[in-house]
Amino acid sequence: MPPHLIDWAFVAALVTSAITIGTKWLLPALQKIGRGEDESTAEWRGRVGAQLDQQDKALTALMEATTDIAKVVAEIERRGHGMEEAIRRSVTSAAQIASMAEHVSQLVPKVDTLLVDSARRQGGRRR
Amino acid sequence: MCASRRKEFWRLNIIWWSTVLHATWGILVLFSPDALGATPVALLDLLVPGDRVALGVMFLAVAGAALFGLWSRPGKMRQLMFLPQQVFLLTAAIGCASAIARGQYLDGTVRPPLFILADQLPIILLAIAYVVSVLTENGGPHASASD
Repeated sequence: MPPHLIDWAFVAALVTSAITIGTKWLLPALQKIGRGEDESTAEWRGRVGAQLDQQDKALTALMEATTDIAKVVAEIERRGHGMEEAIRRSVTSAAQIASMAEHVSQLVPKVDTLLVDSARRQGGRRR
Repeated sequence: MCASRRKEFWRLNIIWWSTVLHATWGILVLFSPDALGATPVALLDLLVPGDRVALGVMFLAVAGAALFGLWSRPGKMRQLMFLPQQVFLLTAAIGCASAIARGQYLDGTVRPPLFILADQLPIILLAIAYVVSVLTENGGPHASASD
């Protein structure tokens, strides 16, 4: 029998057993760490997803508000065009009214004259 | 029986028959000094030279520890219970490998290496299978279905 065979055989058996049990215990621990990372990653993804959902809702609300504002602006613009037309027409009407007033002012003395003449004629007949 | 259950069955069988082997060696060593010359036993006899009772008790102790492990619930204690038998089995297998390499049994009997290989191969294969079984077993009948 080789000298010290039992020594190195026993040490080799101990080392092999230590490696076996070390591997058996170390692997689940590493897998657990890996699962922990997965869980934290999933949690982080969930948080980011929730934030993205909130931002998406806020953007949707903002877009709806922008659409409403655009409708209001379009209505204001439409009414502005109407008012512009009305002002333009009122300017035209004012000129016509001024012209008519001038005509009327010219007619007033003639009407007065005609009334005076008419009154005189009627006075003459009564006598 | 599903594949994982079948594998677990074989693992537990290997551990179980190793336990039976060590218990048998322990009884034989306690019963008679003639068993000390057998190659797997001869090397381990050097752990406690000249004290076959101590060696027999050690064989029975490692077998008992493994038996306790087989009945234990999954956990580190169960795995630790299998280790003494693994150390003994690996030591015996290394003794067998040394005998094959030298072409001589540990009791001094000279034989061709292939003869010793054919004779001692079961112990070497059992030691390898035992290490793999301890490394991969996951609780036996106590394990949950998801294991």
